[in-house]
Amino acid sequence: MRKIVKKKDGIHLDRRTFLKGAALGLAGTALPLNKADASFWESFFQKHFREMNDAEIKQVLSRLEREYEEKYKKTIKVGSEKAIPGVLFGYGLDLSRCIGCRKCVYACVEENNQSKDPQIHWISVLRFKKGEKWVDLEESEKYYNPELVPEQDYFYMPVQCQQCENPPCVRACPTQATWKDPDGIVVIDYNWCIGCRYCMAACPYGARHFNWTEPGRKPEEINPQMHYLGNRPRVKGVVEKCTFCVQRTRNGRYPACVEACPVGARKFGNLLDPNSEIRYAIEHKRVFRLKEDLNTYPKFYYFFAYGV
Amino acid sequence: MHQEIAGALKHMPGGWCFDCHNPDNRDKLRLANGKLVSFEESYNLCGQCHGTILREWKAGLHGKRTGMWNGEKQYRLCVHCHWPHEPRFKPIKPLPPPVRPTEIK
Amino acid sequence: MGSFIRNFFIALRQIFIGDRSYYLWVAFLSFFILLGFSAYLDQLNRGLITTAMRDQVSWGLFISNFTFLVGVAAAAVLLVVPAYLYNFKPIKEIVLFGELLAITAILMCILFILVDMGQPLRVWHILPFIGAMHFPASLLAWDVVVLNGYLAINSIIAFYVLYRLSIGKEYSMTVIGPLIILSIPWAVSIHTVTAFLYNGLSSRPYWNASILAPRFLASAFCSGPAIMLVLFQIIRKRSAVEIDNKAIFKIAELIAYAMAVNLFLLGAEAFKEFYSGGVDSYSIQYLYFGLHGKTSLVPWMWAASLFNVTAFFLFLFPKTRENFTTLNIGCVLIIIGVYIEKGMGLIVPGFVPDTLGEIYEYSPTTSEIVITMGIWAVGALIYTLLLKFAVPIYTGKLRFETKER
Repeated sequence: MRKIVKKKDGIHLDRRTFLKGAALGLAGTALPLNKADASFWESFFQKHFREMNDAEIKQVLSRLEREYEEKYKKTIKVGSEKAIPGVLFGYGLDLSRCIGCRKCVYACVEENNQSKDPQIHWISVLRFKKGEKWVDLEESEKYYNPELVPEQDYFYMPVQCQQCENPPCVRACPTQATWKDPDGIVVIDYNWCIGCRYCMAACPYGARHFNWTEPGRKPEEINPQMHYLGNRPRVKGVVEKCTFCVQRTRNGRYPACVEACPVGARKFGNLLDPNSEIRYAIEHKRVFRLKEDLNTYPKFYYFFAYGV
Repeated sequence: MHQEIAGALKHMPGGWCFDCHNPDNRDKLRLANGKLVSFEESYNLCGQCHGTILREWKAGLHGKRTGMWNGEKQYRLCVHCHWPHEPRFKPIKPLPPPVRPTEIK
Repeated sequence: MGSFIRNFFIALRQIFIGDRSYYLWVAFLSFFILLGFSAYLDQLNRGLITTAMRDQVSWGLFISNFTFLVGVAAAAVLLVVPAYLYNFKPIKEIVLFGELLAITAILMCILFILVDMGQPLRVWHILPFIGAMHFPASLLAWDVVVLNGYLAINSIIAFYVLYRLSIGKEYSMTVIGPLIILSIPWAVSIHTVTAFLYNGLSSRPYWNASILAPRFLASAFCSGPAIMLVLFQIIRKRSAVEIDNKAIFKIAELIAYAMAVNLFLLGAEAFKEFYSGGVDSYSIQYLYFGLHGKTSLVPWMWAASLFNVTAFFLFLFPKTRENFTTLNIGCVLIIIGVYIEKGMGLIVPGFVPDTLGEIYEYSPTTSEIVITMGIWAVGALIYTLLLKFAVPIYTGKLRFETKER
């Protein structure tokens, strides 16, 4: 049988002992958590959104609604509206009109339950000097803060997620936590994202933002109309970005930024509908898209409707 | 009553009140061809000179729209944004710039 | 079951047998490990805001270290394993220690990835079948596959060799030969895949250059062997393991050639960027000259280049190569030089200027540095313990008895 013999120059071990000992030595991982909270474990073992059937999704949504209602003390509705068939969303931005007022930025923050502390903005408005290098984003400035806008020698260009048709972020994600839905919106499942931030490195437009800490938003500021893939409150350690207000657009409404713009610089519609505003813009104006040479095929079309 | 407009009409150099208003009936506006339009259809008046803008406005490319992208929308009349007596937009105060990354703690 | 546990503790006791300097070393490492761990707990609690990473520069010190260590892991095997094929006896004897270094380096890589994740508990999402691994589209998924495969290959080879040695037998080439042959292209692949991770992103012009993958391999070949040279000298001094000077000098010579390639590629990169001078060259400009007055990385990069060139000459000439003082100076210079160049000097300029033209100067926080040091201490401890296990078996001091009938 097994013999352990103590010899002068050390301890001699039986072969089996060695094998078992070495194996056990590597095996000592214990689950770090001792949470008794059932909802935590439910959330931990949640399947990938696209693998869930409707019943499972419903379960997840009601669990989330319960959690949010408990946290924010108001009635919450989390929807999971699918993409409307025959719809491919497109966005137009009239650069001859944008005055750089940032009303869109803050309307988005209100609509989409972004963290205010620390601050997260899904839209960045870039300011360029007329006559200088354009569109050389190196020369852009997003921290402008003059007394009044628009300023004499400058023009403004808002940038947000371009909902690319060939999205580099979707390709990069190692867990398929982000994907392109049939209506063109690139969505993120906040319960699946592992926070590796590879998608943020891959995005050419700086559209993705990370929750470096637990998002800070007061209960009274919460917009209770939510979508699972859109504006429901996020947690720390996950990525978020503009979703073309999926909670609104899949119910037929304009995104919040479109409605907020005081000068009507933002246009939104269905690219597959020949009578839509966005199709009109593409067909009648000289539209361009950012960084088109990267072949990302963004859905965000910039144009100058009026030269001023 | 009309002092502030009459003295400094900042629309249409060389123009005056009755280029647009109807002297006989102040509740109507008068087009160049003599036709009268109500204030709710004032865009026809503006469109006389700003035809390209009127065309774009009708297509939805000019001006703010709210509502449903695939359904009922709320338009705005020209005058809702452009005060006809001084149509040029006044600059407004922008909302605050984003917080710099060095400030996020 | 009872005897199983007892045997575990008996096996574990190996690690507790040592002299005073060994205990001091372990205590020293444990101090940094505990410090790093407590910083990590704070990070788990508050989120990655404890680091200096922000949206503009979303990868930093942790990923820099990861990149450097993948190179070390690749080179540790790549340099010594061909010794089997060419039967260069002096190196053949020390392959085991190279493989143990590779195992340690991969484990450190995994740790760096784990501490960099925003939701580390969800790491199972990246696995195939139970998770939703995005293979083959995502290079990160590839990296998970090749790194874990590499860990498995090296663990099997090392474990098998040690096991056979421990019962007094030679290892059989028919058993591990195929694995050893496999580990050569696999070592190339782990570093190529890691290079492609950056290379494939068209959003980051500094990384999206074909020169990236070759530079990765060249610099890996410098840093990995340099670390090994230092470790071999320590092993030689602290145990009965004999390592021929010829092996050390040969490895140093190979480092010289690798550094020559590395410097040439750097020159090629510099020429292309500075001569053509498009906007894509702003990143390398930022590194070496600063951009719009932001110069925090400039002194580091020049120091790294100086170290690398100096080390190159030290290793090139046999006189300085075969003098242990200059050899070790060269090793230290190369390790630091490549660490800077491939770490912060690779990751940060990918994000500066960012995609919208902003320059955010990333400078790691104390928390990040402490966690990084903690993981390096873990690596040092793992390697120490592996040696504690392996060296007595290697030298023949520890032998097991086979079951008696």
